[in-house]
Amino acid sequence: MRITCTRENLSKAFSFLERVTGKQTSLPILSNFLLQTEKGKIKLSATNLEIGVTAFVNAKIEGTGDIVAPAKILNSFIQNLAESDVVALSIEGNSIALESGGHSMRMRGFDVKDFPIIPQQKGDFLFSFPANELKDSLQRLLPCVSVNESRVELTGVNFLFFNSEVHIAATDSFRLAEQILDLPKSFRSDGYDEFMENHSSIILPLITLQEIIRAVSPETKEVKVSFEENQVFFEIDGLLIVSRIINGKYPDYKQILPKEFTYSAKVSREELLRAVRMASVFASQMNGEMLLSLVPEKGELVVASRSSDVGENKTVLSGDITGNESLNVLFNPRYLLDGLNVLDSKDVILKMNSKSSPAGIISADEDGSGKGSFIYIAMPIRK
Amino acid sequence: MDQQELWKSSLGQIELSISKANFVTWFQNTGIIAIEDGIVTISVPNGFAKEWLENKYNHTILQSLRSFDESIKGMRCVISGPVPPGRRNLDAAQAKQSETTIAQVTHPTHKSTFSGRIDTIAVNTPQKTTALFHESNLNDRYQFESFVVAENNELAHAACYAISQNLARVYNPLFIYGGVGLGKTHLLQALGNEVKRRDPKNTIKYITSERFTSELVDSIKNQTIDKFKEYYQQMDLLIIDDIQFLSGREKTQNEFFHIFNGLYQLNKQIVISSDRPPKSIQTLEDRLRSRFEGGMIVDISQPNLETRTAILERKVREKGIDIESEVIRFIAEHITQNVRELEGALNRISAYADFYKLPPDLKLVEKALAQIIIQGKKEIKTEDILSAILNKYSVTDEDLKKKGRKKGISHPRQIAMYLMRSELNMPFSAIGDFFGGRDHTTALHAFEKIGKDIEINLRLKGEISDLKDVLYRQNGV
Repeated sequence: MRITCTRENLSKAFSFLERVTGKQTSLPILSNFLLQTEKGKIKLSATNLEIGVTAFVNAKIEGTGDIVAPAKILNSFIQNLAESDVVALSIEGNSIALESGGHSMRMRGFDVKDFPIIPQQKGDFLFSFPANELKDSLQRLLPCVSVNESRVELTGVNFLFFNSEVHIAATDSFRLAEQILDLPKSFRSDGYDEFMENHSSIILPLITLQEIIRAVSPETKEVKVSFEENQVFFEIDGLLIVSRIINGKYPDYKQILPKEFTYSAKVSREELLRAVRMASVFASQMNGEMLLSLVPEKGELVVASRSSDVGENKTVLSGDITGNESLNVLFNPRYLLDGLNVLDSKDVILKMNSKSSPAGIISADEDGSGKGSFIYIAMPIRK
Repeated sequence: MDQQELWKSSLGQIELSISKANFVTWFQNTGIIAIEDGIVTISVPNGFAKEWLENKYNHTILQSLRSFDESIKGMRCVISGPVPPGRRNLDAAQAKQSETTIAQVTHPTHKSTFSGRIDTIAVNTPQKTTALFHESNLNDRYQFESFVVAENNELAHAACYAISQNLARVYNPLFIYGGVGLGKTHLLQALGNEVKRRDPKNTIKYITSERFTSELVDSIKNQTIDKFKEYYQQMDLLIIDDIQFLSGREKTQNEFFHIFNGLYQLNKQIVISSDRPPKSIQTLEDRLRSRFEGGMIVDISQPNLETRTAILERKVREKGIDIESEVIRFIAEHITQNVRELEGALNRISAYADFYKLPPDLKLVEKALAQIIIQGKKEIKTEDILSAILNKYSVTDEDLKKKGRKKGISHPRQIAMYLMRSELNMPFSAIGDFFGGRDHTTALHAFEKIGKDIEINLRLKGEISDLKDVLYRQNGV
């Protein structure tokens, strides 16, 4: 069997798939790609048994064939070819050969029967996410995902499905971020409503979502999604991704989101970020904390920290501060930094109620009033 | 035969017919959840296992199931998620309890979490009370009061004492290292006992890394790894003794790393001991090493003569043996390496005295300890030191005796000089002569330089103690 295709097409698929190959040595077959021909395209598959990915590459195909071959070697060969080359690939029995320009390689492959079977989606896709909005949202949420395996449900991102919205949230129980994404009618299938009634809440693993982020390019229109049998299926620009869903009950975080705030401070994000970063230098390593004070009558926001073995610092920022009297709240600077870093607006609005209740950070851009679709919540340190 | 037994027996057969890697990969966390009309429903953890079992192993599975139950006609798989089905059948009470432990764990002293509100079910369940009955592995024999504080261990003692008074607020983690039989375990246990005395509600666990490993292995075998982690994550004070035995055990290190991090984040105290500093534990993962180094590191060195005498005097008082101070001096002078040996010597003497019905005077003691003392005190010669140095630094005899101050040569030469002085008490002029007729001030300088550097350079200290090990072991046998 002979296949001819451009280096660029192969390279894109290979480098994406190589990351999901299995690294464990107990099952060496996982460090391979499965190459098949299907409907005039090359079908490439890779899996680490956590997630499975299938890509289709356009090519000119003569004959049929399939083989399992080492992913790393194939990818390295392709990556080292010159930009514009055309690659000729041939499979004969148990060996695979590649040729391009003056370069050629040949190696032995493995039996296709030994490669894991990647689960196939049976029904249709339920709905689609607007691709780049999903990507942006996930990038904002992922820093909040817990890495502590002792609460497995927090090691993923929670999706709550509503009529025309999806609420996506991540928390490690110290801070929480929530993004609300619109799901217009044209993005939903007929089966969505029925699905929504039965499965309103789903938790997806962090690594799966990291792959989704990687797969979405600026030109990508939509991320198609479907859930079947405790598995999730995605399609992104022809790339198929299947992954497990995290079993468990996500905490009912909605109830801790404050309905209203009595204090509000609109300040420049850049300046606040700088102040908190400085404070984190002076906050002691052990129980790093910084003091954030709102002084409504002076229109001041003060960030200060002190450590007995280093010293102390203080930054005074001015902004629109509303509220009754001065409020002093202790924070772990790291948790504020994560929140400020993922926002990209010029100004942010800091919302608080008291020194012991959750504080919110939102972008001041969206409609001027600070009512947006993304909120970052950090818990203060209670003394 | 019930479903679980049927599956277990079938797995036993299947295991024999396929490779171990395949068996572990595809059959982990599987179980029978139903048998209806001869069709067996098997729960599997993910879609890959489902496809594989249904398409590749269906015959193998069916065959082995049928060998136990003829009525079985077919099988299918459903994906159940990571919880092994066996655990689902736990009664509700137990399930609830495990939920509360999770909440407890994520509810650290530093009260800035949501868990208080998110886990509304988790209010004041008797979690702490049950923890009271857990085994802390502490031995009351070890107390701070019975620990002899001296120059060689005062920092370690002070650190442990400070921690016992102020859990997780002063030095966390605390890393104590020192040779065998110098009192590490005593200090650790005393710390645990003191913390317990101050507040019996504290959950404390003292465990050797060896036990920790075997518990971990058991929990992996019994698929109770979550429980294992949960258990350790609820400790207020976790003491791990002889951590160096984790070296080379990657999986254990990995789990320990997570437990360590979990506890550390919750601001719980961790105390670790080892026979050498974290830097010199080979094949310890870097991330663990750096965590150990992030806390307080203290060492316990060998006791000096006065300390050994003080320890002996205290032991004598404890045991109520009537023994002269002259004898105590004798023992302290001859047994120098290790406190445990001191205690052994004392026991030996009292047994001897009992047996021969003689008073424990110097004569008896010399006889009783003859063997031990000779073993420990084998003479070493200049040649031994020389050959140990030649071996360790791959230099030649001539190199050392030649003139020349190349670093690669002068360093071993200085160490050799130091050892000849410290171990053999050779005159400086003789040392100078030995190394190609050098001046005695050269030897004096070497001795003083190394002696000073040892204090500040941990690597050098390690080199010297390695060399001493070699010297005395060679001669001891």
